[in-house]
Amino acid sequence: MKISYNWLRELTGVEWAPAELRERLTLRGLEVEGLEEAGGDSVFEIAVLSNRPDWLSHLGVAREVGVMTGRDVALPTPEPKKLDGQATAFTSVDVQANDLCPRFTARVVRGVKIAPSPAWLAERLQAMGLRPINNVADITNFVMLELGQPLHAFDLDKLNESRLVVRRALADEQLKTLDGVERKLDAGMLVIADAARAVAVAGVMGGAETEISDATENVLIECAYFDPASVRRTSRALGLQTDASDRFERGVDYEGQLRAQARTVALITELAGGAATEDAIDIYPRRIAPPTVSLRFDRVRALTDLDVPPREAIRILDALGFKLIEGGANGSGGGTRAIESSDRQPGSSARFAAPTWRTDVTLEEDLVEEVARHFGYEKIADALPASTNIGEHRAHEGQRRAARRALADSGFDEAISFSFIDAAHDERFELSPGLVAEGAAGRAPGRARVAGSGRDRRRDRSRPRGCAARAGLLRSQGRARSRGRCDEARAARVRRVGGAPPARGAVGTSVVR
Amino acid sequence: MTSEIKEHELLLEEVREAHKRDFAPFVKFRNLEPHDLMLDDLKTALKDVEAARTLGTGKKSKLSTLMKSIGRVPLDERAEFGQRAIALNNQIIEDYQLAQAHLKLEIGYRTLELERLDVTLPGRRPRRGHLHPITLVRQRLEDIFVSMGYAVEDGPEIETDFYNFTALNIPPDHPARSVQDTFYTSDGYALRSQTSTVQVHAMQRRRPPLRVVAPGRVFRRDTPDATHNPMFFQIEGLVVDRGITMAHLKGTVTEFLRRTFGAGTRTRFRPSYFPFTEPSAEFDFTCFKCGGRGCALCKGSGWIELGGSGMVHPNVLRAVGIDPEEFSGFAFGFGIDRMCGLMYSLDDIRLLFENDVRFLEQFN
Ligand SMILES: [Zn+2]
Repeated sequence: MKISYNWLRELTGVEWAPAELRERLTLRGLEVEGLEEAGGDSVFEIAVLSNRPDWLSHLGVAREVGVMTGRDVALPTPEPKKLDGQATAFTSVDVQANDLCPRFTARVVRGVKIAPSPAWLAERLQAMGLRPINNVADITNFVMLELGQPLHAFDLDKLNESRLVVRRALADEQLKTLDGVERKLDAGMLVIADAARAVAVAGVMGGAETEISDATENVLIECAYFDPASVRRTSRALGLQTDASDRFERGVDYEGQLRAQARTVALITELAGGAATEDAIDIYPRRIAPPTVSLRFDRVRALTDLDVPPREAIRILDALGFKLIEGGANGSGGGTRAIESSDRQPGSSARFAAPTWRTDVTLEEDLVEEVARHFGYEKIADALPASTNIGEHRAHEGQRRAARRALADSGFDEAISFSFIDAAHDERFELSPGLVAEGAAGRAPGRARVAGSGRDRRRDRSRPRGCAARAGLLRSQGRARSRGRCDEARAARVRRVGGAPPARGAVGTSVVR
Repeated sequence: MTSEIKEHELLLEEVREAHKRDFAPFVKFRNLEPHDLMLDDLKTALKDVEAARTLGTGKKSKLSTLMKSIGRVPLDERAEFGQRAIALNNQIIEDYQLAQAHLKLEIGYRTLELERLDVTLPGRRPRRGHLHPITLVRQRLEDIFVSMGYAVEDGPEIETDFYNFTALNIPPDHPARSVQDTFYTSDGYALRSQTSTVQVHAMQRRRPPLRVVAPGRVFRRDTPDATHNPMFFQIEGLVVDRGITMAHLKGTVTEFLRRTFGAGTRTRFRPSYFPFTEPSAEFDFTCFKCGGRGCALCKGSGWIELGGSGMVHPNVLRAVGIDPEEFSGFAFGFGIDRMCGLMYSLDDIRLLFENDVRFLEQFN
């Protein structure tokens, strides 16, 4: 994920130089893999952890910076230049698959003028690795990078009956996506449709026929929360991975749609003109409740050895967006502000509601990690656990080493080869009876075929071990021979043969001469 | 009062110094340092260690006197002094235990070798062969961990869904379970995708306190390139006991890296995510080539990334019937192939399994 230093500075007021910020982010789990200077800005390449989709936005990274600096993130307040009418006067939305689409919002901007984006917007997108298209499309991308919510802009006048239906695809339904590819949809996939046909693969990519063009006058801005597993399945099935699907399949903030949409329509009225509807259609029949998790403050020390004062633990969690709902200052609720103004000491535990953008917090240990992470892993001391255990090698390790050394002394080079053999050799090796003991699950792994795909066809069999060892050796011997070093083509492997548990393991050697 | 304090403090220092002196000849065995002693020398050394241990830790030893003196220390200092005395006591006992264990092990190997030599000699003396670099690194790592009190464990390479995923807290829809990432046999078993599976077997077999280390092969559907192979070797460490913390994890990782890359090695944690640990951390160590100043090997950062680690996830402990309120544990893992690449400066780890004789004969 590319993150702009200037953008972060606008959101957080951070004053550390890029190199220092890089170090600090890395030590908090946002590993900065690259840092490039580009047109007066510095761009961080951040390796986003798979459980932190909220870091796929500047807001998400800014929150982490805010915990470090102790300052709140300053998001711009969306203020559309011109407002006119209710959204329901221009469109309607029918969500027929609430299970795959728990929340769907739509808002309309009428009378826009499509044109290239102003330089500041085009340059910022380019620095983030995106190609500028037109002002409306660029604004939706900009807001996605800012707030982490993928949005889609439809040309309202190209939607049959000017309305949307969110439903599963019909059998044999087809859609030409924005990239110009005609795609065949499966019946389980979620689509956004108009009165007549699918107009977008939900959460993955919009359709070509309803996209914004130079002639577009009225736009519908859609922003939704789709079921992550459904988006992942669809994206895999279509072989189509997009910035939107990356975010949806890992989980976006289910309370962030209206804000992102307001920001988008405000920017549209500012940069492309037109009037936004006063409200948005918001179909959110079952409110999603964030999980609540308790933290006993002494568990931080018990697991990490860090001595974090409860006040500091609460401060960190609050800055990360956790809501204190119980405990903290001896049972008085009311959030951190209340605690700071109070002289009372925090109690021994507190209960928090997870932020709506966090999909990864369900247990006390998750809170311990958050507290320890921002208090600083670098403060963890080096200690060795007191031991009552006596070290021991595996059974027969002495013999194994002796066998290896004996073979080496006799001129053999030890070989280690893949545990797979070419399927072409499959019938050329036969196991000696009794060589393979019972396998992992009480049955011989023997000839189990490893489900293969094209790119590793050459290794598509899990070998019967003795056989594969020999096949591997034959292959390397063949290679040595072909180089005219026949005399040196001796190799040996010393290895447990068969899938037997260690207690029943045997030492086997395969020798090729 | 003052003279009393001096007395037990003096005694502690005296014991520490005496141990340093008496144990000096055996340090090389304890730390598995290279030596050129013959079999008979080793047998003598074993007798000497046993004798020194009796003198140094027996009923009439100064150490024994020290331990008895704890009870007479003034109350306000007793706890603190007692801790130091017990730590010293444990260290001395561990020193002797390790030195003895290593000597016994080596005497065992040498005896076997002698027997073999009797059979093969006299005869044509062939070209000397070579052990595979993976074996060399793996044996070295195993020896280090055994000396730190770990039992080396082994586990199946073909695993059920339970061991490879479920018990490791990897949810049913996790991408790691997909056929794009994991090899499956036609009858539905997975080729293990990490040695963490051995954690589960080990915790089922041994109850805490336990410390095990598990080296072995793992399999992932990666297209081979200079830094990836579809099969590679990992080593996994696991400690479960009462009161285990991340400080113990960090200390342990630092200790084994010091024994591998030198006493000046430092480590650092970076927060990370693994389904089977919480909190989780990746660990880096100071570059052994430039000492942390920055060079080509460490890409100028001074740090080398090595592996993943963390506190064993409570769901993993529960999956094997260990109460996370009573016990805690840490786990760490890293690639032996990667370590091999670092130690032998390999540009391309695909060479490891090509078994080209010209490659293999470079190592000893
Ligand atoms: Zn370096």
